[in-house]
Amino acid sequence: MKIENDYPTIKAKINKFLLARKIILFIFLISIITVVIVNLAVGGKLWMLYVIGGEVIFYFAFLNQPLIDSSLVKRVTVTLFLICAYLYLIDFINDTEWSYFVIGILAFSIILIQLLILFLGINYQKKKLIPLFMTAIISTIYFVLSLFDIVKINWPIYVLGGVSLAALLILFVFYYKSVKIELEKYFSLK
Amino acid sequence: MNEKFLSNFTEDDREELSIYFDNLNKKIKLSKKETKNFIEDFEKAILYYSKSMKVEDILELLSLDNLGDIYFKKPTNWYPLDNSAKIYPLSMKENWMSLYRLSYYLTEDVVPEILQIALLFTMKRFPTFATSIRRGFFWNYIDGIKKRFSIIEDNVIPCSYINISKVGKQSFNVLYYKNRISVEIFHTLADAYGGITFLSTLVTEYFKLLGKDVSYNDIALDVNEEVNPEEIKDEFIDKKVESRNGSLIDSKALSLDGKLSNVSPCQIIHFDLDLKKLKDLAHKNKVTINELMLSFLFIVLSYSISKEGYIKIQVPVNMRKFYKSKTVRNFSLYNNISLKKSEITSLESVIKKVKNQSQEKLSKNKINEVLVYSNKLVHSLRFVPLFIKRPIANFIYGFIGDKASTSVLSNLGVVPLPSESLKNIKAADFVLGTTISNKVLFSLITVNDIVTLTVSKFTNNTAVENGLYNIFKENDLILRIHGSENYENRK
Repeated sequence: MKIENDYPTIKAKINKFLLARKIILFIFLISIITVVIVNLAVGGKLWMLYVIGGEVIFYFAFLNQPLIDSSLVKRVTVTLFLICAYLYLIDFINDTEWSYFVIGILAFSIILIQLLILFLGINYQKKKLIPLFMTAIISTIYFVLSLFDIVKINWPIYVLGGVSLAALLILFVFYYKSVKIELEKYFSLK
Repeated sequence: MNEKFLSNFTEDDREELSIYFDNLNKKIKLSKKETKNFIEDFEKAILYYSKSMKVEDILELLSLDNLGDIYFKKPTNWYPLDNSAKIYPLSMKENWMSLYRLSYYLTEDVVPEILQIALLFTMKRFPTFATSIRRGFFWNYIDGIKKRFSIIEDNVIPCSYINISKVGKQSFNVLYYKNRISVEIFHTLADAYGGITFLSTLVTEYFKLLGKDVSYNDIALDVNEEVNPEEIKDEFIDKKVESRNGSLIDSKALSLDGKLSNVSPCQIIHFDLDLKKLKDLAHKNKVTINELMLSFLFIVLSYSISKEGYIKIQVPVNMRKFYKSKTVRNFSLYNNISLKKSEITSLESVIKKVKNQSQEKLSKNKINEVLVYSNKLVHSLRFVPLFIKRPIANFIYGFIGDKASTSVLSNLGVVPLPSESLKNIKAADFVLGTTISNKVLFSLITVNDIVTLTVSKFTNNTAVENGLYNIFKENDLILRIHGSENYENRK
């Protein structure tokens, strides 16, 4: 059976990013297995979690490719939240109490970075308000919980409360319509 | 405007062009890069026309009223996905998404400069295509975007993954190669009927811009007509159907012998068949063309499978047959026709069984059962957050997915293009490009008395196309066999 070729000739291409990612993930896997075995064998503090945590952050910062709705502000937000969790983990393992302080600083920095990204390209960023909105809401809730002594309070938490409330104010005063529309789409049940 | 571009025109023409491009700038509000490309599109088109037309006539043909306001106004439209579309973003993986391709083969080579303008003019008529897929908390949705939509030269494997990850990315491609114009569409936007409406409208606008006679109908829309709300309606939501509860789940079907190819698809083969002879053969056997083709496929598949069990062919059904609808979104459901492999003995016996099953399983009642089931399923999952739904859907789709069928036969039927357009079109094809485990997919489309059966291959096993070739040759149906190289064997 002779097939007349009426399609262009396509050269074989390698997706370099996917290939590099496979290699890096393989290295991560080897390292995770190694550190788990060594840590459990030697005993003591669970330092293997430092390695695993670091690799998780690296993955979400550089290797993770959301198939839909990927944006810089989302990537930065997710990475910084993971760093907060990682710092808490280190703090917990070492049984110290500095992470509440640092996480507070990081959290209000996230909101400031998100506001900066928003203002730098406002015409194109209005559709990406949700990460800022959610971060501000969660931070406000955290601030309120700290006022009732449910979580520790310190000066970064006061700043976090101020920044998150300011962010919400900016969103609702200057971008009320955009926020309303984006929330309606985001939480649609249809 | 480019000085080099202006140097091709007289002083008087330059003044006219200057006014035209000033007005063009007022019609678009895009990023700097997109604006530059937009203006270049019009410069290239004007240069093309200037070989044979006066500037005055060119500017009338390229009237800026054809652009509408979609490149200026901030888009406020957004659409929840229809029930059929909801699964497609959930089942996406890296380098895999549910795509199909529709093509028209023209009587002359494509003029890309004019096709680009035709696309820019066409987009306002299809607001659901001028969208980007977004992630919500409970469901994905499509959100209006404002951008310069562009054509690309066909230099990719058909139905290659379209990167829609960034906000503002379109979920379809318009491609051209020699005399072929193709659209590749992510199934979230539209089913094949919606897709062919888009392609037919685009091609009609393209012919109009080339100065050819055109007319319009339900499949080739006038781009300057207001969008009919019926065309963007989600037809699944208001269907109050009294029916038994059906199911989307079916038992495992037999799979074609051979390994799945590394490249997907690894080859596309089109059989152009004589419509009249095929009709006569179907009439002789007292079946429709679809039933006849299904019977051929069962025979051919049975020779290509060594195990015993059930061969199942999934058949999408255009719901517009049963419910009056103008929607260009998804409005199809499907059912399986299944035969036990050991019972596939002769063409006559297969035809009888296929006819009986088609009349039963592809009937309005049976498809309504599937409609009721899918509506209930979507309704019951509506409060489940997407971050829980997605990995589960991905797992189920990958694990069960198309394992419940051996293959698919999707038949678009005769495309009712206006006669003026048919004069400029030789043939069409319809490619089902993606699968998880099916090793071969089939699709049919008919234009200008040519029935094109496309075999999308995901295996190097050649038994299927050889079997089909023998059947078609025996019945003197073949007009032409064309397709792609085997992409698996590329260097």
